[in-house]
Order: sequence, then C-alpha cells, then structure tokens
Amino acid sequence: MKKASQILTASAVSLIFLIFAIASSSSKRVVADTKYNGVFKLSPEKDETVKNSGKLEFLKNATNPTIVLRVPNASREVLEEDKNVKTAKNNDGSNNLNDINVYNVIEKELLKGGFTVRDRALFEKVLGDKSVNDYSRIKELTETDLILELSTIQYVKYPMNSFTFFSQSKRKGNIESRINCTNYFNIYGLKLEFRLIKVKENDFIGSFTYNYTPCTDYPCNYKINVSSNNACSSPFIEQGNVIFSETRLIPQSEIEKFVKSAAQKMVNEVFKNRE
Amino acid sequence: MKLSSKYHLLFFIAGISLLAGYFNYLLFQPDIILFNFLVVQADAFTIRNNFIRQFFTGYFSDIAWCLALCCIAFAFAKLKYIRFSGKIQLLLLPFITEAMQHFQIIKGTFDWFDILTYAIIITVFILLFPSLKTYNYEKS
Repeated sequence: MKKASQILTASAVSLIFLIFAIASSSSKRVVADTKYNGVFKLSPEKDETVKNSGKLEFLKNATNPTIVLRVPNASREVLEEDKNVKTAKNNDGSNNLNDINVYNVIEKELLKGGFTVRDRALFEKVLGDKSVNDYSRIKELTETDLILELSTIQYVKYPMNSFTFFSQSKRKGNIESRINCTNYFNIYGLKLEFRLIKVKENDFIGSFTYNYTPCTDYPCNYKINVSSNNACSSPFIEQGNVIFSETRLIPQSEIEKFVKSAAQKMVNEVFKNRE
Repeated sequence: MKLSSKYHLLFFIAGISLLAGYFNYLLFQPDIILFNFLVVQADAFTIRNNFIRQFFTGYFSDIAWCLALCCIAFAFAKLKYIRFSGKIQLLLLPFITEAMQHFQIIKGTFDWFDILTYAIIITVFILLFPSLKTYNYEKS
C-alpha cells in the first residue's frame, strides 16, 4: 500500500512539474517585441576593371569616337556569341531600377566624356535585322566605333546577423551595444557591369564592374525588430505609415548617383591613355 | 505529521522558485501558454543588455523550475513520500522534458544549454545535500 502511495506521489509531482513546463512554452513562435534604432556598417566591395589597353590606343587620336549603349533587354539573338551573355534581371520583387532612366544617365556621361553617342533606338533596329549577323557589318551600317553594353545592373545582398545600437544611460551617457541575431537579414547594394566591344574588329576589349555598397563611409540608421529569442526582422525605415525595407532602402537619388559615378569612372578608365 | 523547519525551508524555496519563474515569464515572456490560459495580457519588459536579456528570457525560469523540483524531490525523499526510483524519476524529469521538446512531443525549444544547466543544478544539489545520495531506503 505504502509502495503504491510512493509511486503515486512521485508520478503526481512529475505530472505537476511537467504541466508547469508545458504551460511555460511560448504560444507564438516568433514575437517581434522590441524595435531598435540599429546602426549598420558594411565594408566596401571592390570595383573590377579588365581592359585591353592596346585596343583602346585608337582613342588617342580620335577626336570624337562614336559609341552606342546597348541595354540588357535588347535583341540578343543577332550574334551567335551573344547567346552566352547572361542578362541580369532583378528578381527581388520591387524592381525600382526601372523607375529611373539608367540609360539616359549613362549616355549623358558618355557625351560629357567626349564620345559621340549614337542613337540607341536606331542601333537596336539594326540589331533587329536578321541579315546583320556580324559586327563589322554593324560598323558599316551605324558608323559606330564602340558598343558599350550594360550587361548587369542588379541588386546584391549583403547578409548580416548583427547590428549595433545606442542607448542613453544617466551615469555613462551614450552606450554602444551589439545584438547578435539568430538569423541572417540582408542589406541591399547594387552591382553594375559594362562590357566594351570594338565594333570594327569584333573584339571584346573591356569589362568594368562597379559596386555600390551601402553603409560604408557613413553607417546606416535603420529600424529593426528583434524578438525575445533574438530573431531579427529585415531593417526598415518608417516614413509616416509607409515602411521601406530591403531594396527599397536605397533611394532613387542614390541609384542615379551610383550609375552616374560608375559611368564617369568607366569613361575615365577608357580615356586614361588620352593626352 | 509535524514537519521540521528544514522541510519548511525546502518547500518555501520550492514555492519561491516557482513564483520567481512565474514573475520572470510575466515580465519578459508574457506570450506563454499559461498566460494565454489565464487571459493575462502584459507587454514584455526589455533589457538592453544582450547577455542579461538572454539569461532572463531563456534560462532564469528553467533554473527556478529545476531548483523547485530538486527541493521537492529532496524533501519528499527524506520524508519517505517517494522511493529511490521516484527520486530518480523526479531528477530525470528536466532531461525527459527537454527530450520531449526535442522530439516535439510537447511544445518548446530544445536547448543543449538547458540540459547543461539542469545537470549543473542537480549535481550541485547532490553535492550540497549528500544525504540525498546516501539515504538508505528501507525495504518494503
């Protein structure tokens, strides 16, 4: 009898404590309960330039070399080798790259740099003609020295799993603290790539890759939600009732500035040998 | 049966531990099933320090729960309310609970640090109260 009572007591205590354990488990999986003013800092991504300087020598003597900008969505089936060129598309949902006139910005910089810029639309029409299947024929028809192809313009993810924030303390003043998240979130940058083709000789003479890494010189201040178990949301900015996050954290003006600066750098690189 | 003050103290520690765990959940994790059931609504209190916040949200209540269990197991064993096997059963309960969480038999998050914490508490308890280990159980 006593034995049964002892077993019953142990089982009852076990059951009560098991109920306590179950009752203390979270009713929700992730609770975003704390909003922080996070400070985010990234290291800049390096630009990459590959060029055949010898093939660019002709620019030394050319007064106004002619160039045309070829855009990613242009007809790609005119030349056999173009089938290997991958068109970078933005698959991140909110494609605000189309909202700015990237191509006009680039053409303007080419013009400022001393190029004679050929009409893009006319060039596309020539490319659309199936009988034109050779670059030298394109040169004949369009009188263009160089084709500048905007082969890539896309968003790039920079994964992060920590951020810093500042809090005020009466005794110590501004205190910097760091939160390590249990998950990764992304800060978005941009990548722009030009390919330069010398039309007359069918030669690919340069590749210019430029990166826009946000939060490098000046750290970014974004809001971020952190749950009780340190799961972090995507960083965001609140403007009234509108929330901007992910790719929309890069303002249109910043994209335009980056495209402009990349085009300027590319022009400077091409004309480096020029007196 | 009149209990000595030693047992009163053990039951008191067990009660206080459970109460501390309860208030800890109320302050830092008010989204638990118990409060849903009791219809208690509260905003979570935020601690800015990463380490302290993780301790209170992740470990404090577990430690309190395990401490209460050890006190009850010790007191009941001394009072002969439970047998040796019952005591083992109670002391293994924290690990069984974690295992059940791991296999998703009950809700909750399995954590190796919880296992380590329970092991430390039970070991310390046995070292502090050697009589729990060496207690002679009479044959029945």
